[in-house]
Amino acid sequence: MSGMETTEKTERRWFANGAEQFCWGNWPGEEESVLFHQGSGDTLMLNPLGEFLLKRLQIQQLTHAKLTASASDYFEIDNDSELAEAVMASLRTFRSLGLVISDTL
Amino acid sequence: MIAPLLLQVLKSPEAVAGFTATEWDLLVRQAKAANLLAHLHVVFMDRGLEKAIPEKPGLHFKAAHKIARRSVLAVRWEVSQLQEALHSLAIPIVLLKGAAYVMAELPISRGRLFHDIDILVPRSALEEVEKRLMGWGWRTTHASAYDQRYYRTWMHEIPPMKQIRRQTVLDIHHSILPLTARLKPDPKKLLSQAVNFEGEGDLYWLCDVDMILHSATHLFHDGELEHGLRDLVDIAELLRHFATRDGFWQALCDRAEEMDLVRPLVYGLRYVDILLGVEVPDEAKAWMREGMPGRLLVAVMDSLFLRALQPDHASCNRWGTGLARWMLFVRSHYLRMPLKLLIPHLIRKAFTDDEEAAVPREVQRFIANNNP
Amino acid sequence: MARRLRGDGLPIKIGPFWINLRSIIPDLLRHIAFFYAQYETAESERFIDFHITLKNSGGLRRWVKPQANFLLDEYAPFKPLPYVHAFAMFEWGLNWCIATTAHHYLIVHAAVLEKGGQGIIMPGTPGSGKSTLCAAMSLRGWRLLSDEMALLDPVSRAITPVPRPVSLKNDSIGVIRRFSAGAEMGPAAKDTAKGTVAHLRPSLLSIQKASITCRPHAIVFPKYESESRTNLVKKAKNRALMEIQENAFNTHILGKEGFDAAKSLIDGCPNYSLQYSSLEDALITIERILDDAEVTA
Repeated sequence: MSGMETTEKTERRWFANGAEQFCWGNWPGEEESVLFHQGSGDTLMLNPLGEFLLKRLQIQQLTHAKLTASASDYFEIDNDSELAEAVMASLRTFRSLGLVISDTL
Repeated sequence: MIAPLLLQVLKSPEAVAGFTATEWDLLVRQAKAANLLAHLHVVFMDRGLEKAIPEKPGLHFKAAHKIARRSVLAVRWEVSQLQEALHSLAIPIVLLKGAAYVMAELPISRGRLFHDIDILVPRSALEEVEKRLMGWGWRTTHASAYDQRYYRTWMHEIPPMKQIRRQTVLDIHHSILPLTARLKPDPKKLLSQAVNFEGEGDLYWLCDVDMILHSATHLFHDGELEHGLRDLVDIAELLRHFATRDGFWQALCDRAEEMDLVRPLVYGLRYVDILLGVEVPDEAKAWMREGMPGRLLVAVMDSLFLRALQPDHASCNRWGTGLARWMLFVRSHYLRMPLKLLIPHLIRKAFTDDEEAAVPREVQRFIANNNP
Repeated sequence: MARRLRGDGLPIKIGPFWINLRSIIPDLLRHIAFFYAQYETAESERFIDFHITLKNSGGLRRWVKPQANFLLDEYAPFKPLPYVHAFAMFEWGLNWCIATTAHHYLIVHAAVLEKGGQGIIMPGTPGSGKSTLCAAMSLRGWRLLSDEMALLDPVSRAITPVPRPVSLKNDSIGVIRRFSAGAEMGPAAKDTAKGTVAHLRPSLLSIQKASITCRPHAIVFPKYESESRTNLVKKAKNRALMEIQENAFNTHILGKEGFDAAKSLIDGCPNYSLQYSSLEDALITIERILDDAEVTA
């Protein structure tokens, strides 16, 4: 995505594109959840990390660092570069799908 | 002449109260052909007429309204993607037509379908805008060198772009009339009065009077008369909404003169008054008389427009409707281009886009007779 | 019947919809007479949901190779096709009309059959064997609600029937002919692009009961696999929801309403994947679903 690289270094905030437009389907005992996003019209299947990130951004606008820290707390895993990269990769995917929007602080 | 059912209902919605099954049948068909089913649903609800609508036709109105509501969400989302793509350019992005009605939350957006998104950007920024959009998956729709050259040399927009994943179409304008048009509205003046949406940074739309002028210019200078009635309803609803502010009519007429768009506004006001019963105050009518073309031309234009603005349905076609739409298509091209350019272009259109525009024989003859 | 079809049109009630059909195309008139003779028609003028005309497409080609054009009122959504496909064109043209208009339902691309008041929904992608299985069930006492579209009420979850001729392709035509001597089939139409298509006439009972809705009892995702054993397994609810969303014609129009309806459908009944090659075995397995909602562990 053009524009992505140029602002990567500055701190940017991420937020859900239309927080009220996310429709979730989850069932106990099933790891992946179904997301229907009204604006884009897409239905997607998400792993628990993806689900957590989007639900978190639905509530609050967060920077990548804060989002990673919050994922680390929630899943009780180390806040290391591996997690940070996984979070960034998810955000890029969500951004290309129009599910999240970013904003430079 | 008896006005088609749809026009009667648009003028006085209460007329539906006594409708028979066959009248409902005809109204739904005409409204569907004119792309006004969802609009009628909104009109009926606003007037408290839901009880007058029998169940079966009611389902058609409700379904169309559901589609309209969804397309509002889709437009909002599509605009968010545009913003995301163009954000770093820090240029004003002026939303036009449907997208503007949605983002400005105008009443007309409640019952309207949206097909393309239209934006206006400064001409100097076009190249960068195109490049950014390519990066976000938009591609040009007109690959042929002829079309590219045609758009870029003569038009007020670059060739439409289509989003490869979603197939949504984006029209990028740098002016509201082609560079070759006789009328020369200055896009800088439009930009200078554009309204900024608080909190949305780069997003703008035209101020109220410009929005109406643009809508009228689009209808009375472009060739898309199949949706003519729907576009006329847009103008009527914009007028009804904005006319409540003090000094509106004076501002509208002044702006039309300033922008060199008197003629389209005169036509717009004339036909919303005649066909849709919009109340145009006396001062504005006096102004219209000054700007009106000669009596003979008015009679000719009336005979063309009053036919072409009917619902696009066989039940409304008087003799010559198809020909009237085509004459206006030719007229709108003529208004935008010198004649020498016009004739080869129309011929090309006739023979390359045969699906989009099956040319009636009268028009083929017209072209043949005028081709040097 | 043919006289009215050739004239102002014949109003026919197909499921919850009134269609006014006009055509002079002989192939279509024969098919309508064979498949729709038992449907309710109207004499008086009434509100019509879809005014459909199949007419000769113009141009010189009609003298060389006659073509049929599908019109909804005056609008032609499709390219003309050779005469021999006029009936298939009417059938999927009508599907298109319903799918683009009847947004008071969640419309899922699925066959629906009912027995003893219990409905089975079978969503199907092409090649899943959905239509073959649907045809076989309808020939063994199941009431056909639809072979193409489940019309689901988003609130009550009731399914509205729209029984129509069951469309069968290629090998399935012979399979169903061999499966039941009672199968009443129209003539087969050959098309180099799609292969051969023929239609099975729904039972009289299915047509007569078209105004009676049914409640879904289970969702079965069929998968034809040649030479395979019949195998019924429970399907994860998230996967089932994904597939219903993908198979719904109007999920983009209904938005949250449609998603919630699909979710409540999946919540409300068990979901299975059914792999099969033998129709007889598949039928026995589906009967067992009716007896006991929890057939597999």
